[in-house]
Parts: sequence; structure tokens; C-alpha cells
Amino acid sequence: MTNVVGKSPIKVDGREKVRGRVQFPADLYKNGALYGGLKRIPVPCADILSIDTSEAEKVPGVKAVLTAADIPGLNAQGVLFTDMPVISSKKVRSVNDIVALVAAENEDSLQEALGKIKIEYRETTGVFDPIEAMNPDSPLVHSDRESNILYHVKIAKGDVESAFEKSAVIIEDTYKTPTVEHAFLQPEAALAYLDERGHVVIHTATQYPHWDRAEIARSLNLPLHKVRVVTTAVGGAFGGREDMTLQVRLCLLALKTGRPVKMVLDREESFHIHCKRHAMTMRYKTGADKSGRLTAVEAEIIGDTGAYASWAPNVLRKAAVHATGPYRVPNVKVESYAVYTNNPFAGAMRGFGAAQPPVAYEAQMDRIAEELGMDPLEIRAINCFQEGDVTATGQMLHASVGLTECLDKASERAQEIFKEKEKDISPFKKRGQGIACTFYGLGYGNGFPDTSSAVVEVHEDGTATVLTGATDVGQGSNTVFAQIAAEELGLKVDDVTVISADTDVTPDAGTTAATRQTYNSGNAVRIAARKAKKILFKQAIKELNVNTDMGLEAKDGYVYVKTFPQKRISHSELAAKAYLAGLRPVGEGNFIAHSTQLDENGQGAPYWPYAFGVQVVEVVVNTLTGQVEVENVVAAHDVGKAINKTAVEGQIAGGIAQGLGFALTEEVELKSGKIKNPFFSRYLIPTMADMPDIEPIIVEEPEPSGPYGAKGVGEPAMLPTAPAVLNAIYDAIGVRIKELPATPEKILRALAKKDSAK
Amino acid sequence: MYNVDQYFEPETIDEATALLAEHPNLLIIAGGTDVLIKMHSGKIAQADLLSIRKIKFLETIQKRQDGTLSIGSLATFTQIANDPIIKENIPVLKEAALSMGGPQIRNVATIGGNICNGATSADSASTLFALNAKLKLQTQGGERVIPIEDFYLGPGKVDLKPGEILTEIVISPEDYQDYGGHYIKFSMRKAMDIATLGVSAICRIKNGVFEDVRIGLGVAGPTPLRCQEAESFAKGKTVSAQTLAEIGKLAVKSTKARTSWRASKEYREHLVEELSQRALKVAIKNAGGESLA
Ligand SMILES: Cc1cc2nc3c(=O)[nH]c(=O)nc-3n(C[C@H](O)[C@H](O)[C@H](O)COP(=O)(O)OP(=O)(O)OC[C@H]3O[C@@H](n4cnc5c(N)ncnc54)[C@H](O)[C@@H]3O)c2cc1C
Repeated sequence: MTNVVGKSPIKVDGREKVRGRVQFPADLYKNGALYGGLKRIPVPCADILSIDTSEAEKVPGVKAVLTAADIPGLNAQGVLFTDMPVISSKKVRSVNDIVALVAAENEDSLQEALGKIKIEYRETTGVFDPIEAMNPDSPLVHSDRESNILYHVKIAKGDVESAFEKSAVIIEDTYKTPTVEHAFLQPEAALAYLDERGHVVIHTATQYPHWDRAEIARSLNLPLHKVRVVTTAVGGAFGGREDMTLQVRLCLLALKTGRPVKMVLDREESFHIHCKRHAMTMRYKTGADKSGRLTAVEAEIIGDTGAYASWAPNVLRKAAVHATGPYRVPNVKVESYAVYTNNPFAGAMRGFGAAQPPVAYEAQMDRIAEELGMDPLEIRAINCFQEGDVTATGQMLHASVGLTECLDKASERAQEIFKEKEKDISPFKKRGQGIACTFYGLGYGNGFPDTSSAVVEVHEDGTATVLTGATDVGQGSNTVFAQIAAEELGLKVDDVTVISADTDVTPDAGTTAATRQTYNSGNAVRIAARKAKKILFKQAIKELNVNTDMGLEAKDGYVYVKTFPQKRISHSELAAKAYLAGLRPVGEGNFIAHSTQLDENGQGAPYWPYAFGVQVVEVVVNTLTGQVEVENVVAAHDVGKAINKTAVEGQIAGGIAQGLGFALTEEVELKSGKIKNPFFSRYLIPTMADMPDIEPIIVEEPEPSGPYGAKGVGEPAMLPTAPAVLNAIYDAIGVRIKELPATPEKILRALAKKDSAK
Repeated sequence: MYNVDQYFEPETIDEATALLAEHPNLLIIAGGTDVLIKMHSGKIAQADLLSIRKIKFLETIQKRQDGTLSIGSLATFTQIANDPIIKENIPVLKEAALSMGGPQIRNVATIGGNICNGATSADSASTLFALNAKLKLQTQGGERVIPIEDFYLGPGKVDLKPGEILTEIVISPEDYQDYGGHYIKFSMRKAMDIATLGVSAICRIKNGVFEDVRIGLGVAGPTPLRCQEAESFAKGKTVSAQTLAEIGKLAVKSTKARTSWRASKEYREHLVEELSQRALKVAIKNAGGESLA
């Protein structure tokens, strides 16, 4: 039994957030700060012939106009490959490229100077379609590479050819998902300066301060200890704050001017500076026998990574590993490619390559069921992963497979909610239901060093502080860590302070990404807290006069003898005595998630653990207009253990909102590499008014290696929504949308085609 | 970004028109939800502003003795949505007001700004077109009253002469009494979205026959417009599904839809045909007619 874990204390930063006291980077001010700005050229693809900054430098109030030549260290950045220039000097490959930086005393001088930088360039032929870009004669996005194909991975298991031959039903089709924007509320902003020691300091909203520090140090040619990255409150991230945006550039301006420099992007600039979700084209062939058991899946997935790699290999690997869905498939052949184009670069976004394949594989499941006259629920029930099953990569799912429970609970609840309703609401309003099952492998995976560390210190009054590098991006990780430390130490959440994501004071805990912080850093915090407790117990042995700490427990602010609870000592008294005795209850924890690399056939155990989710949605489609209204979503997610129930429900609601946008309205419209809709009046995310009723169901199939059994929910929450909506649209009106987003116009066109085919 | 040199805040219309006469370059700002967006994006690089927000008189919504409705140009959409006179007399305008933006925008955006901004997508415009609204425009020297249809010249262009302020929107009793109406805003999401199409239909019915039908459309052409052909056809026809179908078809004839990022021309025309019928069906019910399936 736990006391704090599994409850829903309000977020540790909840009060400040509600009162508007939390500081996001744009809220920070420093005396004498300069205004920083970025210069781009208006085309995505060009050779730069010359850059003349002389006129810009003459603008009164301008303190620096920097170009590539001003970078003391490496003029390149990137999480996997350093293929993105900090400042482009010879070539511009995408609308993301920056060609100069300016710092000025005021906004007017800044704008004037940006306008006066003279850049001569020659537009070059770009390539904007990834399939075209794979063609050997197409222009190379990076001339030092032999091909635009950045990454290819194959997963091969069994013999798909002969399996298809024996299959009773085969469905073959192509599905497409567009480029998608994170649409976090807070555009990029940062404040950088040199502190009294001459160290470079930047306050910004990031997902991984320690990584930012490494990139800044590399480009500024500084040792790591002389760079400090402090994470402010983060206004949403979703993967869009993993790559360098302002970090290196702003620190360079601060270094060169010796003045604090602040930069705050507007929405349009924000659209242009961070990565996007990979647009994917997914060709699928799925076979089943006549009882509905899957026999084989063949898939080809092509992801457009734009001009820069960011996480593309990892994203397309995750897509490949998840390509078969959470189902037993004996014969598998998956080919997955990441391709460079001159489009805006793609990188991490909630789901990380596991969000696109469900759009394909869950449609395939419904279509097989229909061919066989089966219920969508039934076909999923007979194929879905159970404990002991083996995945497409040959990985044994030895524990924590709560998929069947999700399926049962979601469908039961959906039945209760949906049952009385009519399908034909009116001659032009049709109701439909759709279901989707998904899974998600946590962590960086593929043998990557996936490490978190944390320190827990118990003070002499018995309260405690947790130090960890993990960024709370708004999802509530600081609250989860406070709960875990409080649980282990027997304190209240209010007795614990979490200091996070400051490279000068907290140990590296990896990225807040890959749904890994509750699992990874949660484990690290737990280990650290246990070590600190062990030291406290040393003193308790003396105070309580027992012969070992084995029978001791820390709970409700006391340490006591479990078998004789009258014998106890309060934390404050115990800690004070420990300090007097020279003991320091400080613990340090390290946790590494385990995974193995895929071999040449894509076999291995690339992720652990896996989270599972099932969503059932109900939609109403208007056949006069093609408009879809999502009425209800029942969402069951196996999270292992909900450390904080409200936070899990929050993630589920947010995931559904993002999934609905993915399904129905969101698309970064690209024309020859340019973004046509870099504003929220044209890039449409759902509003509160568009949200359906949501019933979250938390399934807890404990993961033995997780803290208290926890896995995670951040990314898994959004995965089933879009495919479930698409399946529901089909159920309502009999048309299948295979290319997102499912706009009213697309639906109406498909409906007209269906009617004319009759 | 917000490059404002001079800023005036008169408290009466006379003061305001005098200032306008004196400084012909002044740009009027009401709620600022269009003006400030344009300044932020650089579409308006620099402006001297005349704020009319302190002219409390312009917020008035009233029904005169003769039944004429007068809506002050400074009435916000929230105010219109909550106003008992609007609710009782022209509830269709309440529907239009509520379809606009989101609560925060409705709290500051004014109906006068909505019209003077000249957008074909203005959510109040199609309804005001259908209601044969007239606009009262005041200068230092005098005033003129013109039909709203004449005010719209082209996309973003209105017939606001130098020195003029829109003070009132006037609706005559014969144009709304005994009418029922309905506004449909078709957009890609339920709030905070510009209309893909706006359809406002009003009608008067006697003994199952249309005495009058008026349909205003937004985003079906460069300016809001009326469906003249459909309207003349409808007059005197029996209220029936067939009549409606014909009205839908004829409504398309008045449109000058374009393909834009929001929708293709064909799709918009399809929406006009379908939604003018849908809107009219509800309007019939609201006019006391028998509802059609
Ligand atoms: C987030 C957002 C969402 C929006 N959603 C919608 C929507 O759903 N539907 C919609 O129709 N609009 C929408 N708009 C546009 C805008 O809010 C409306 O057009 C609003 O009615 C403008 O009113 P205002 O008082 O803010 O006008 P302002 O911006 O103050 O002025 C607009 C124009 O009218 C002129 N003007 C204003 N008052 C007068 C007057 N009395 N006499 C002469 N000229 C005048 C100004 O000079 C200016 O040219 C939205 C805007 C934003 C920012």
C-alpha cells in the first residue's frame, strides 16, 4: 500500500500557475538586456553569394551583427548528426536556416538592422517530395552525402510471401499523414548573459538542459562547466523543444556583446524554427486467415525529415518497430526510410514515429474484419498482445501487457454510453463508432544510453529536496518526483521540494521525451530517496534501540518499528539527531532503461517497457457538409501504475485533443518548402468547444522494473485517437479517409465517389 | 510592431468628428481586434489612432417608438448576444454574434468594427444584409444613412468617406417584424475560426406561403451578398421541400465564390446550396411555419 503514490495531490507548481506567477522565459528581464533577432532569406533553397552586414552595423543602437565567421567553435548543431548550421553561410537548405544574428538596444534598431543586412543569393533547385528525393537523380539536399536517403531499417521475420499465399484475406493500401506542428502555447524565448564568473548562462524552455549545454559548449568552444542552462517554466513542448532553436545563437550574441540578450519569437517565427512531425507515406499489405488471425504484414514507410536529420533515424525506427500494431504477427516485412528534402525539418513530436502507423494498421484491421464479417472488437481481441507474446522484432513481452484489459474495459464502457443512441439521426446526420488499439515502447531504445540520475537530500528538520535534471514541461514530472520521494521517505508532498533542470545544480536525467521521465527519472529518484532513507535509518537504529533497519518503516512523518508501531521517532527529531551525529542523509540514484540494438533483420528488444491503449470514439458525420463532430471518447490506457491519477487523466485529455487535431484539421501546408499557414488562424488545432466528452479509464498492469509498477502515458495517450476517429467515420457513412486530415471537403468528395460507384 | 504616434480618446461624437475633420489621417479604433492584428503583422505599418471607446453613447441598443431598432456601432458581440431587445426582436443576430470568435474576442470586438473592416467573412454582415440594415454615418458637418449593401465596395473596402464615423445600425420594423431567421456559420472548428461560409436566412410566412425570403451570404463572394434570384423566386411560393431545393439552387447563382485555402469554389457552392436550405428550414420554424423534414 502506498500513501502518496497513486493519489492526486495538486501539482507542486499548480498554485503559482493559476496565479500567473510562474515565469516563462518571456517573463524574465535583466537590466541592460539587448534585443536579439534572427535573419532569414525568403527562399528555402539557395546558394549564398555574399552577406554584407556593414549597413546593419551602422544602425544606431546595434551592438552586434553576427555571421558564421563569428562562431568560435563548431558551426553545426543536431541531436544525432551535426547537419544543421548554427548560422548558414554558403547554402540555405530550408526555411529553418538562419543567416545572421543581430543584437540591439531596442526593437526598432533591431528591426532596422535586420532589414539592412544585404544578402546576395542564387536560388537552387530543391526537392520537396520525399519519394522523388529517393530517386538517385534528384538534387542532393546535403551535397556531402551520396543520397537523400538518410536512414533505412528493415524488419524481417518469417516468410511473408508464402504467408500471403495462404491467407484468406489480404488488404493492401497506402495511407498518408501530413506534416504536423506541435502548436505549444509558448513560442520560443530565452534570456542569455555572462554571469559574474564569465560563465555563459541561458534561461529558456527546453526539454533537455544538459543536452543544450553540450551543444552550446561545442559551438562556443567552452568547457561544459562554464555553460549553464536553466530551464524556466515550459509552456508545452511535445518534442518541439529538443533541437537547438535559440540556445546556441542567443548565447553567441551574449558572448560577443558581453551584454544580456533576450529573444522572444512570435508565432510565425516559432513555426519556422522548431521541427515538425514527419509526414509519412505508408504502404501496407496485411493478411489474415479465415478465423481473423493475422498471418503477415508487409509495410513500407517513408518519412520526410526535411532538410535536417534531428531524430529522423530514431523516429523511423520507432515507426518500423510499431508498424504491425500491438498484435501477434508471425510473418513481417517492414522497410522504413527517412529521407532528406528541402522542406522544414522534422524531428520529435509526441508519438515519435509511433503515431503515424496506427492510422494505417488500425484501418487495415477494420477492413480485414469487414471482409471476414467480423466485429472490429473481435478481430482485435483475438490478435492483441498477451503476456508472453513475441513482437515483430522478436521481443518477448514478459510482463505488463494490459492490452486485453484496456480492450475489455473501453468496449464495455463504450457499450454503456453509446448503446441507446440511434445511428440515423436524420437523413443527413449519421452516427458511427470506431475503435483503435495502440502500443508504445518507452525510452530512447535500441541500446542507446538511456540514463537518469537524481539526488535526494533530507534536511535536519526532516524535510527533503530532490535534485534532478529532468524538465517538467507541464506534464507534472516534478509533482511525480515529489510524490515518489515523499512516499519513500514517509513524508508529505509539501515536505519535499524538487529542483529540476538546471545544469549548474542538478544531475543529468536525460530528455523529457519518449514517455520516459516517470519511468526513468522516477526510478532514479526512488533509488536516491531509498539511499537517503538508509542513512536516516542508521540513526534510527540507535534512537529506537533496534538491532537492524530491516524492520523499520518511514511513514506519515515518523520512522517506526513495523511490528511494534508504538516505537517511533519523528522525522524532524531523527534528522536533527542524525545531523548532530555527523550523518548526512543524501542519496544519489541512477537508472538505466534496458534495450538492445536491432540486428540486420531488425530483430532485437529495442524498447522496454511497452504501454498500451485503446480508445473508442463516437462521431456524427453530416453528409451534406462532410463535417465530423466527435461526441465521445472512451480511453483506456495501461500505464502500469498511475503515480498521480489526475495527471494521467490530464495527459489522456491532452492526447485526445492532439489526436483530434491530427485526425480532422491539422496540416502544415507546404508549397515548395515554404509554410503557407504559420499562424493559428490557419493552422487549426481543436478548441475547448471542439472537445468531446472524455471518459478516461486507467488500467494498471504493473511493470516490475517501473517505480511502483509505473510505465508512462504522455505519448501513448494520443496514439489511438486519430485511427479511431477514421474508423468511426467509416462506420457512420461508409467512406474511408486514408490521407489525413479528414477535412469536410475530403469526406464529401469520398462520399460522392462512393455514391457514383453504386 | 505597434507603431502609434498619436492617440486620441474623445468622449463625444462631436469631439470625435471634429478631430477627424482636423486630422484626416486618423484611423478609427474600436475594439481593435482587426486594427491591432494588422499593425502587429505590419499590414498597417504606422497609424495615428482615434479611439471611440469612451463614447459611451455608441454602445446603446434601443427600440424606438415606431419599432425601429438601433444598434450603436460600439456594441460588442457579447453585449449583442445578451441584449433583451436583440433577443426578442432579431434573435438571428444573437445567433450570429455568438458564432463569432471566442468569449474574449466577443467581449471587445464591436459590430461597427466588424462592418467597417469590410471582410466578406464578418459574422454580423450576412444577417445585417438579410435584415436590410441601414448604416448611419456621421461627419462633423452632417450625416448620411445608406443601405449596408451599398457600403461594401470590395474585399476589405467600404464606403467610409474621410471624416466619417459609423454611429448606428438601423433596422426598420417592416424588415424584421413577423420574420423568423437563422444563421449558420460553417467553419472548420466550433470557435475561434473564420467562416468558410456564413448563411443568414429570414422569412415571413402566411398560410404556408412565403411572403418574403431574404438570404445573406458571407464568403460566397468578395463582399457579403444577397441571393436576389432565389429571393424573388421564393416570394408567393408554397413552403415545401421542392421550393427550398429550388431556392438552394438559385442561391448559388448569386455567388462569386473562389477557391481559397479553406475550401474550393465547388465545395463552397455546394455548401451554399445545402446550407441556405438548412438555414431557411430553421427560419421557417422560427417564423411560425410548419417544420419541414
Ligand atoms: C482571434 C480573433 C478571432 C476573430 N474571430 C472572428 C469571427 O469569428 N468572426 C468575425 O466576423 N470576425 C472575427 N474576428 C475579426 C474581428 O474581431 C471583428 O471583425 C470585429 O468585429 C472587429 O471589431 P473591432 O471593434 O475590434 O474593430 P477594430 O479593429 O477596432 O476596427 C476594425 C476596422 O473598422 C474601423 N472602425 C471601427 N469602428 C468604426 C466606426 N464606428 N466607424 C468607422 N470605422 C470604424 C477601424 O478603423 C478598422 O478599419 C476575429 C479577430 C480575432 C483577433
